[in-house]
Amino acid sequence: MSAGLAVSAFAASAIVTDVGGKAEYSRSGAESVSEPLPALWTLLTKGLYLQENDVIKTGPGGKASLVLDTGSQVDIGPSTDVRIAKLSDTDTLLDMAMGELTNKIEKLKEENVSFAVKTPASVCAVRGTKFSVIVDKSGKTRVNVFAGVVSAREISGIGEEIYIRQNQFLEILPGIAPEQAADLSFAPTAREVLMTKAEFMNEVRMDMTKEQVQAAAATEIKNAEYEQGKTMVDYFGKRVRIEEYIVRPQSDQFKFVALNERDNRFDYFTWLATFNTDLPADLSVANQIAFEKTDNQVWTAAPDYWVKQHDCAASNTVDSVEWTKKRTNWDAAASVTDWSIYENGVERAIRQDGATLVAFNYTEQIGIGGKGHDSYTSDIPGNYKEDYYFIDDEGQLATAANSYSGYNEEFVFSSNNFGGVDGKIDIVVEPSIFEQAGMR
Amino acid sequence: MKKTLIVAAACVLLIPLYAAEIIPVGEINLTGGASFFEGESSASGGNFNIAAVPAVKFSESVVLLPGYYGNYRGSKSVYELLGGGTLYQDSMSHNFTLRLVNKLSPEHKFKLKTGYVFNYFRETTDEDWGEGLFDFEKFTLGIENETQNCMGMDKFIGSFDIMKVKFPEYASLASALYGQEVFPGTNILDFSGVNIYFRGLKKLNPKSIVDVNLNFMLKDFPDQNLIDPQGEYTLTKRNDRTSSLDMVYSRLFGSFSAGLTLGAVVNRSNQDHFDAAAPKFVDNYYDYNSYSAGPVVSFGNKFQVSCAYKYGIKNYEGRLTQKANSDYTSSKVQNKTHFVSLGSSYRLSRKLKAKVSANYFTQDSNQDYEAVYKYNYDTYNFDAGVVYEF
Repeated sequence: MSAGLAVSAFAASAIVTDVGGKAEYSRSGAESVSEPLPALWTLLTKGLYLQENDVIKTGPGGKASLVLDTGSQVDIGPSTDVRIAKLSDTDTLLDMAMGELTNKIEKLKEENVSFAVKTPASVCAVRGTKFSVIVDKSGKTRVNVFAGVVSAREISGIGEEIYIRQNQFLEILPGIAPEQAADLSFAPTAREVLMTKAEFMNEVRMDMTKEQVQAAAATEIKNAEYEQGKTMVDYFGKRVRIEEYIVRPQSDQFKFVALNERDNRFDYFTWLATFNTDLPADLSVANQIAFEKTDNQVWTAAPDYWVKQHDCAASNTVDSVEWTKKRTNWDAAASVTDWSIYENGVERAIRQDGATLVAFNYTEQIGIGGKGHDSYTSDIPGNYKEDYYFIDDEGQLATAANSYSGYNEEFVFSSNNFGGVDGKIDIVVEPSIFEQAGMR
Repeated sequence: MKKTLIVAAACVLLIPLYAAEIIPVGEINLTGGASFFEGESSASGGNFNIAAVPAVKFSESVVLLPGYYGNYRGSKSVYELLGGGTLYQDSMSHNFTLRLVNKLSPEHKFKLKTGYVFNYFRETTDEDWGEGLFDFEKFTLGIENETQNCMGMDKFIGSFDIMKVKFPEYASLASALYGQEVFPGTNILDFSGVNIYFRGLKKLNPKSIVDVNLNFMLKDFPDQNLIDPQGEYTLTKRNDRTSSLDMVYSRLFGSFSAGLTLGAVVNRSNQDHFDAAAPKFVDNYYDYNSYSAGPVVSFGNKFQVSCAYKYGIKNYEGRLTQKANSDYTSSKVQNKTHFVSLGSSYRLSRKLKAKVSANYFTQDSNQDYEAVYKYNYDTYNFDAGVVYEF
């Protein structure tokens, strides 16, 4: 018997029952399979007894079979590094760095008897079963169970302990909680390239993640429309789309256009302002000067810019209301010179060239109910009426009268003689527009 | 004759399917919940989503993954309530995909993918499915490469997608109803784009892992004209460029894991904004840089608990703040957000899991003008339900 290779007659052992190709073992007492001390590597031979802490290595074409004292059989596949970490009457632990083991374990009748395989990613404990364990270079561990039940968990303890039943398999990656075992039926043997159910789910989750990223781009486009106030809820609870534009018909003019669309109607408002002189590229410069005074106020000295004439129109495409306000000079107040109501396209001129053609009375109510609703009812034929609502983006009225900063303004012109939808013209715009256009 | 040819062609196409193995994979989520905006109940309802991918295995290395992902949301998430969002009633999406995966080796997969998704939103009580103003459809075609031990990563994924998004119910009012004086374009929200995506997973040691995602998206709007400083439209079209980086670091402490998430997004556009009511030209209106960071913790096995917090800040490069009366200032808009998420799940059986979650989101902004959009608000929602995996 060679020195160093003696086996105590009383220690548990494993006998080599079969060897193929290049297979060798070491009895150097190395702590870890991955850090073998410069030990003596000896070819494995049939009939050899192995003991605890022996390390077995097989080459690319090598293999070996062991039978333990308990009658359990361990088949070692090619390119395998495995250490018999524990081998006793009660406990067997194989510590595998990489390769393949197929184990046929005799039913463990005693409660305190165990058989386990440890890999870089997992620990698998068995109770009477036939199973294989495959470890690749990255430590990824695959356990195939052909009979019985094997329990496995990730080596650091993350995630749950998974029970792998007959004809199931499980893959465990170091540091990642293992998922459920899957059926072995669609998975080939260890060394073949394979696609597992877990990989399918990974593909599904990858799909959903990228889909969320791309869908978020579309959602951002949509949110930008909300941020610019292009869609909101009006006083009557209906969604209204709003678009506002500036055009410059002539060098001394700008035209403000507001378009409103609801589910069943389209309304628009235009305001053409004609100034005393050509306008600069930056309109805000001219507006700041021109609108520092209301229409009823005058300047004490000639300003650079002032509005000679406002031409406004509001329409639901069937009916419209049009008016003109003029200022003859910078030191004269502005006044409405023309005002016509078009009912189904038929003009009812109320005021023309400064002269009143249709006398009427009107009743004014400001801050109805203590909220942001002003109303003007008249005795013009058709009971022509104007309502002004100051609302937030959800259509809620301002809670105080005459305090409309930060709100939108919705004006509704209505008449019994209007032929358009609901007999009204209904527009939502920024309140300052109405002030500047001389509507207040 | 034509019918016969069609049937013959169908049989030829079906033969590979009969020769292949089909494996059902997927999961179903069913939850119910409620959402709140500024303390008021915004909506309550059920949520349902399903992912069904009957994987068709032609060989041990080639798999076809036709997929269907359906989603219905009756209660809004905190992110759906951005800016108020009370226009939302409910939403649903249907996503059809086809993925061909070729596992060239244990370390290398190559994939081709195409898909079409329909998104529907019912935002007011008089809107019906398919009539939502912001309904959109997306077509995608792409390739993806997944390699182990590449670029210094344990797993490295690179993908390239082209996509086309259209909003079938949306056309500018000026083009549809007032095409006389203003020409912003017709289908101004529609865009086509390219999405380049990289992902790397690296195990730093047996107990910690880092996951890095880098995404580039280029969007072209073929029917949206640029606006000039005078408020008039040019013939040049809009294009946007978005770059984003996300990183998650997680470490294990027994059955307890803790981690950190970091994110950054840079968005640039050649489109500006003209506020006609002011009137005010705002250049670089859509450009922004945003950053986020926060911890995430989870623990448990059969019964799992997770919680996360994220702080975010979004700085607009050109968008100006406005006072409450809509007057513009010279400051740029900055939004700060806090997001808190709590979740728990309990495995009832091998395939069935119960879960509950609660989310809170708040935004604080230096923007005071909120007549059309809320910039300062808080919102929260909660959901409870089950997940079935098959």
